[in-house]
Amino acid sequence: MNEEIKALNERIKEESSFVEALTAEMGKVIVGQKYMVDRLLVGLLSNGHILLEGVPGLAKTLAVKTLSAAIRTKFQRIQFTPDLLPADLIGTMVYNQKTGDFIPKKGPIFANLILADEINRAPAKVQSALLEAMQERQVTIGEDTYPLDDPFLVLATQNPIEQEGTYPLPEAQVDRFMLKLKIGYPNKKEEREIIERMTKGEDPQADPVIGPEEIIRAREVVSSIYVDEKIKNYIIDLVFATRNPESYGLDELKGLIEYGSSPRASIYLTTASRAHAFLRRRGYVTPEDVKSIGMDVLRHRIIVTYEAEAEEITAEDIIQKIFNKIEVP
Amino acid sequence: MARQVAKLGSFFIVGSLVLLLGNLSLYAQEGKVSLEVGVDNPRPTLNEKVRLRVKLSWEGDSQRYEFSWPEEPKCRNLQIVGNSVTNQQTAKAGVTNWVKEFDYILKPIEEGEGGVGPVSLTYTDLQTEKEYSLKSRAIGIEVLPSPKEGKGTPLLFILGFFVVIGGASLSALLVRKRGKPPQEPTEEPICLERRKLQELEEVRRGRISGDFKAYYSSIAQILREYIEEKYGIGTKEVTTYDIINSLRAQEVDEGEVKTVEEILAQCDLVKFASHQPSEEDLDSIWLATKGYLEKREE
Repeated sequence: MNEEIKALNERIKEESSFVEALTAEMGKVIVGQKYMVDRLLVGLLSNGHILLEGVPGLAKTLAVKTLSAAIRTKFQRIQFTPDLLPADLIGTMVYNQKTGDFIPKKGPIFANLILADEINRAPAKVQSALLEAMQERQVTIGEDTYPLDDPFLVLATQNPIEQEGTYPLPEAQVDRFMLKLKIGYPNKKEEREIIERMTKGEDPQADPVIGPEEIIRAREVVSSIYVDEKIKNYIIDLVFATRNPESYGLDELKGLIEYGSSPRASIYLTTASRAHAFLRRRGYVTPEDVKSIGMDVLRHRIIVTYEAEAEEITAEDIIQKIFNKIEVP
Repeated sequence: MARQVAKLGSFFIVGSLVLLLGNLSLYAQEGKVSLEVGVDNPRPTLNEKVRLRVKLSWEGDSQRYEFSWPEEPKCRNLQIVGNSVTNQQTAKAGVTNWVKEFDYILKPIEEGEGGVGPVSLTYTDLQTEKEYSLKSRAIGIEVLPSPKEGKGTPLLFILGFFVVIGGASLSALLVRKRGKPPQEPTEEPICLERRKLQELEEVRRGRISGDFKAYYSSIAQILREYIEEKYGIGTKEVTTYDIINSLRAQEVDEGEVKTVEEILAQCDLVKFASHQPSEEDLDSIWLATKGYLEKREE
């Protein structure tokens, strides 16, 4: 093996030792939902924000709370409501009677892990304030700009049902989330385990097993994971197929895609694939990493046409067709 | 003459019926799982073979149902001379459809009535833990005498004779005109394994160029194409992981799956990790692939 990758593999083995401890700690509280836990770690390792979508009661909030409990970081939960104001989120200037000055009062966004619960229940101006902070990783209060802590990760949840009185996130803002996860129901065995664990009267708790320094160190390793030219070309082909499907022999998708994925999709597909390879203790990315993470990176970046909606064709159907058509290197 | 015309008429009627019934399918359905059994020719002649297709399809999660696969169908006046299994997976409107198809080649034993008995299958829906069973109806097959032994189509025989004679005269005329002797095809069909071994030999010759990435890519491609042709798994758009999963789903021998996995993993290492193989590595991957194909050829 290439000496650099050999050394990288060794380093990955050392730096990824926390992964097992972290998943085990999360497993104390969360039953099943391996996919969600795996993707939360991908987001944590690749510095990308995550949007979790699922019906109520699927442990979305619990998973994020448990993750934060397993990491020695500052955690804030913000319940998004229709009367929430941007200042409630980022902070504001308050008058100091003693000195007669206005001093900044930092909001709950100044934390490492933010849980934006039911993000679609707050009006656009609050969503906008959060999403701006997510992108810029800094916040301006009054005349001063304050950088946000590192790591800074936003995990937002939203409910796909009960659209009454909600403010759906605009496409441009959804694009800022690296991954959009669709959370499903547990199976029978897991459901039984949930009953046994959660009805004892004492809720299980996760203990912190890693600190922010370890995450930052692991991120450095993740960013050095080798991505071959063939993999880069494969990613480009996948993203371009969402924009010009007919150039890839996907004529049936012509007329179904209003807008294809932005270059952010290529960037996130590469970084998320690296994190996926890291979790598999590999110093290089394979097409398997791209395919595994692809749906979560692309599903919220394709806007389907009215024709597609009328035919009940979803963005996921389109992505699946693209994956089935584009040749793996 | 009138009698011959009547016989010809009845031949066409029977022929049309055969064509109509050719894709005869018998269904049995329970929930989202369906069993379809059909033969391609319900009136074969004694020297013809019949293809029996047992198609099991269901939608949703592949792990949702636990099946007890149908046993070999019971045949009357027919003998099973070959069988194969294929798996297929398609997605439509976000729903995955799974198809497992058991193909049997049946050879008629003697002229007269025959048939295929009902095919039955049981499965458990793991979500509801309910057990279901599906059963198809029996299929009747009539074995006709082979054309050589038949008594009834002299007009056809005469027509055929004239067509053959006419064709032979025409080709002789053409050959004389061109002045070249007729060239008969001499190539014998070669088996899949042999073909892939020949391609592998070509790859070894091309190794001198020093492009080891291309060398490994070619070996991986030969192996993927072989699996695609042999097991009916589309390998162009899938990863090594997908191929291995599909082979396991087809219940291919675990030893064979492991060998394929090792070869493809080695190829992936060179293709995607810029691994620089030694001379021994180059020999070893080639020999491993050759060994695998030769073993299958046996």
